[in-house]
Amino acid sequence: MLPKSFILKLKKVLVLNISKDVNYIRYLIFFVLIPFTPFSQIISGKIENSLGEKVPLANIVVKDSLTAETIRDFVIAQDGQYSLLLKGNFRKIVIEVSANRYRKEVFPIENLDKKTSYVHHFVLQKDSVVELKEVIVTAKSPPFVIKEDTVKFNVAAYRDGSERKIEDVIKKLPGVEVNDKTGEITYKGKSIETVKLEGDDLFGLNYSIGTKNINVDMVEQVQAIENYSANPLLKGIEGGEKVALNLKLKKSKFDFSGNIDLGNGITEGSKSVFNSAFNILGISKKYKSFGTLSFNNVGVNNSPFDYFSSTPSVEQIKETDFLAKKIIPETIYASSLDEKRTNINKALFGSYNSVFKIGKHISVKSNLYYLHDNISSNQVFDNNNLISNQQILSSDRYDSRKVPQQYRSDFEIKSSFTERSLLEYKLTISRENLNTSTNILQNNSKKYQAILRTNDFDFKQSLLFTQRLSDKEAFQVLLTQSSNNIPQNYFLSPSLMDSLVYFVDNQQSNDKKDIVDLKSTLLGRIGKSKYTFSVGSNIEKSNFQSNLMNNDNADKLKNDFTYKKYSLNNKVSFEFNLGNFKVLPSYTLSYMQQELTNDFKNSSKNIVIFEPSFSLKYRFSSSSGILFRSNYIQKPFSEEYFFDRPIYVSNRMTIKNIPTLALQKTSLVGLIYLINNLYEQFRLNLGISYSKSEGNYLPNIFINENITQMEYFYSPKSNQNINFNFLIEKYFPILQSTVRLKSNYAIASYYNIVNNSDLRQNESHLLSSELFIKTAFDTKINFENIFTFGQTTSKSTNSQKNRNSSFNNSSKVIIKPNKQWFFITNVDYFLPNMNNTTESLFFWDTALRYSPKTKNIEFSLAGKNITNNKYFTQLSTSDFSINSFKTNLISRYFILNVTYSF
Amino acid sequence: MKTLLFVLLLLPNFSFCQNLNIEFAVKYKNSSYRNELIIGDSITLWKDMPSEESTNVLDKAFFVKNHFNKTIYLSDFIFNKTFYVKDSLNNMKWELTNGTKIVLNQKCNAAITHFRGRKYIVYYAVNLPYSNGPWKFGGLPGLILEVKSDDDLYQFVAVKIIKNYTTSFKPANITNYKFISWDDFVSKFIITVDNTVKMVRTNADSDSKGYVKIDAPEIIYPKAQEGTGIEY
Repeated sequence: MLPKSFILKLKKVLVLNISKDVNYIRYLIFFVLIPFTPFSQIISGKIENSLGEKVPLANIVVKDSLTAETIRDFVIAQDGQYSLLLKGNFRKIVIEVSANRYRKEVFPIENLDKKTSYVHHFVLQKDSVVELKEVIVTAKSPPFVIKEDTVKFNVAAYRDGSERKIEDVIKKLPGVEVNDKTGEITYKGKSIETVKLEGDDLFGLNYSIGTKNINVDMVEQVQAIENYSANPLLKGIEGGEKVALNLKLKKSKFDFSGNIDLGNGITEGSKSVFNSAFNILGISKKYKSFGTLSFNNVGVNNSPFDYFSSTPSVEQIKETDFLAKKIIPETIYASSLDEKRTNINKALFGSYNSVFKIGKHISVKSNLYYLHDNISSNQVFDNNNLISNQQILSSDRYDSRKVPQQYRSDFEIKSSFTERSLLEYKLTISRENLNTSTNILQNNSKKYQAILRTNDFDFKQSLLFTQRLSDKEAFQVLLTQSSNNIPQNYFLSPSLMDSLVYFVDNQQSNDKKDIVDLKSTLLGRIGKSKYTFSVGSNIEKSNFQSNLMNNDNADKLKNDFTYKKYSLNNKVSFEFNLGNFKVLPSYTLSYMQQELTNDFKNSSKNIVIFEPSFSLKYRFSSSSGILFRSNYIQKPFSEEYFFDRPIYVSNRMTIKNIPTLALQKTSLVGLIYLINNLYEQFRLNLGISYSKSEGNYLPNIFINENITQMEYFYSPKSNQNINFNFLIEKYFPILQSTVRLKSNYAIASYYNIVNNSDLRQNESHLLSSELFIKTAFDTKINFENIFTFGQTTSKSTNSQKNRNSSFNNSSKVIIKPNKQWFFITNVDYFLPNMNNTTESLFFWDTALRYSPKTKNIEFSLAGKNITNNKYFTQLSTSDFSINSFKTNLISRYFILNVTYSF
Repeated sequence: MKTLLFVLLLLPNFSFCQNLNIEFAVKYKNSSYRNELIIGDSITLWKDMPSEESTNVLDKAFFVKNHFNKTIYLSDFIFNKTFYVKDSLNNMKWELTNGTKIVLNQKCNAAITHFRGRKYIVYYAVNLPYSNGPWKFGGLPGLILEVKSDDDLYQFVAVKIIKNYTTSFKPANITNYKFISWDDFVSKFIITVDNTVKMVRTNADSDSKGYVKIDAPEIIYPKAQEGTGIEY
């Protein structure tokens, strides 16, 4: 306490020290303030230490009493001066002064006079208690760092429904690309693991059920998750930089919601077209579900499965090793044109997906699918084969009708006994029936009728146990069992084998594959590096039978073999993070035993396989980097190369092999350079890759006007591929437009034998380039133009080049007069062969949409293929042929669509 | 200016002796981090504490409060581009309130501020006579040990105090950087967001719309940072 004599009472005068450079404005403010603070007291003074030196920084607080907790006012004193303007009406205060390394000083003032200003100087004493040691006080604190590896994209806030699906929004998110055919989504060049719904993985790899069917207006935000771990116990220790998306729903969409789309219209011959759907979403804390039922005949595929072009789904690509083979292919081929123009369908697709949480530890998921379609097409193939100075012309016209049907159910149960362990069981059962009947006109003279029946039974189950051993380590055991059986029956009338004796060929084929796989893995992290060590064993057994019978039902060309493969393997991989470098070395060491047994022969082969792989990433800056990849793979061939008697697969083709148990050894090297500079709105990708496959089954082809016989034989010769790709994109603020140039150039070198030639070395060159320009004017009208050029060149030793160039230009005009109305019209010009400008095509499509302001309803009117093109022709080349492929199109139609959301 | 230069030139060999080090648990929306605040006589550092897993080595982020010229020298970024920005120190207007709280055995008083688009309630310890705090916070008569935004999206809570902390600090040579003013940074931010939104718009399918929203504690461009964000 300081003696009272230190107080100097003064009459209230202006003690504010207004410096010379003060301007008029500040003076004015001060002047204006006075009337509003009539009761303010000013306390000021010096703060010095016992040596008379100024204390540079001190805190001054005002309290009602010494023991009061509340601070009424404060000021930060600088340079040994303070001035406190009290903003209340105080009778009695205590002023406390504290500064670092000084003892706190307190000064009370009683009976404050509101008309008096006070001056009080403080002299602070050095703190005599000097703590030299570090003094640490800690709190029980939350987990160290949880960095949410999530980029969020907020989505349209539509309350009024539309036919627009969340896929349409996902497509345009920065860094995201969607494959229109397979529905596969990639983020920053990596295929995503799944699309979650409110944090739950409802769809697994068939996430396109969600993205193709969930309406935009149900979703508030799309989140891109980097360093994703499907298994929460592996978070932070799992390598591989996995990515996933999460759909965050609008709050109002909790509970039950959905939409009904009704679309009806007319097409040629007053036939009706329709495109309708019903979607329902049920969300609560313990339960999530999404159900969809859709029906259309306008070429829209709402399912993850593609029966039109038979493009494998994301799941089929990832699980290809578990699947048996369809040896006899479908007759419908997809063109390069959008399926919404060529897929003449009548598709019914239903799916119900749900996940329940039972208590804290158990969750149960089920996915049910049903699909039925009726796809028809008229296709004409004209082949001009130029072989050893001979021209062999052939043509086929196929009028096909394919009826696929699929039933499938997936089931999954997850149970976490403890916080550190998780047991997951998954089961998939599916059945697919495909019936394709085709009327064929071969070489404009010979008629055939063909029926192909394919059934596909698939069963797969797996049990995965995960134990988190410590913060830095986890252990997993995975047991998988699968069985896939594909019986096929192909009827061709009249007989191709001998049309004089038989009127029908009946080619049967049955591939059954069983796999049991056991793998245990230890994953961990040391500092910034991660490692995975796994050992596993795999048993694979394929039983293949095929038989050609005719109407006499006698066995003719029979194949019956069993292929078994046993392997023990060890895989080790590392992820080292060294400054701006990321180094990812790994290897797989396996011992493999193969056995091929048929009626006559039993061959086997044991081999030790070493497959190293090495990747290196270097970041130049936060927006650019380089990636180098290399690996060496040794793979045995599968059953499609193990049958040695011909199988009739179409009205002109038979296939057989000369089987061996050799391996294909592939070396792959790739280099990618990336710039993704959002600040400059600039993107550049440059990539080059080279692969060399040593040991291949090469085709020995015999072609005449009526028949093509393929015999695959093993040769140690190597096929090679080089691929260059290039992308540059820039937004030009001055043009308010984005310009993007994308190019791909691929060179393939491969071998074959054609019509008893020597072994031929061939080369094919494929170039495609796309120039994209789109405006982002603030006006009501915007434009988009895409120009695409493609060229294929094929060449064989001592033969002429076969070349074809094509181009396509697509222009759009987009008009948005206000938020309710939207209009788009686009014109597509196709020139499939630049040497023949008469075969060009114009497409014209247009759409008008109206969304009333407040209603949950939306209307749209669309006209497709208004120019009513009937056929689309495209050309391709091979090393011995130029092929033309003509397919019919969905006729001109107009459709009115109403969407109601609830 | 002379003082500034003096302090900055000193930095490469700067050593703190017997100062205060406070570790903060920082919550930025759904992410959490650790940061440390090292208070010296002339300067204060606000530093990320990288986790073991962190592989982000490129970001030469720095945040220095210069007590003499009342300036914060910091790196900030717009998308992928880093900027070096000068901001005013203790640029917050405080309203003292009645609440009290004990944080790390320190009796703290409450205060409220509205800072760049967000309202924060903070607790400061009068017995720690530093007019300082985490990130840009400061200007109260005591060290700020806890900050929470009223929308609950951002918070800083002290979890460890080390008194008489001794360390030496070798920052990147700050004199090499070209600093821009806060106002310049704000205008660059707005132009870049506008351009980027337009580029995203050109990637978009014509018949659907979406929004870009940028999350940051400071609301620089309300259109892109509040509500649903900016439409593309």
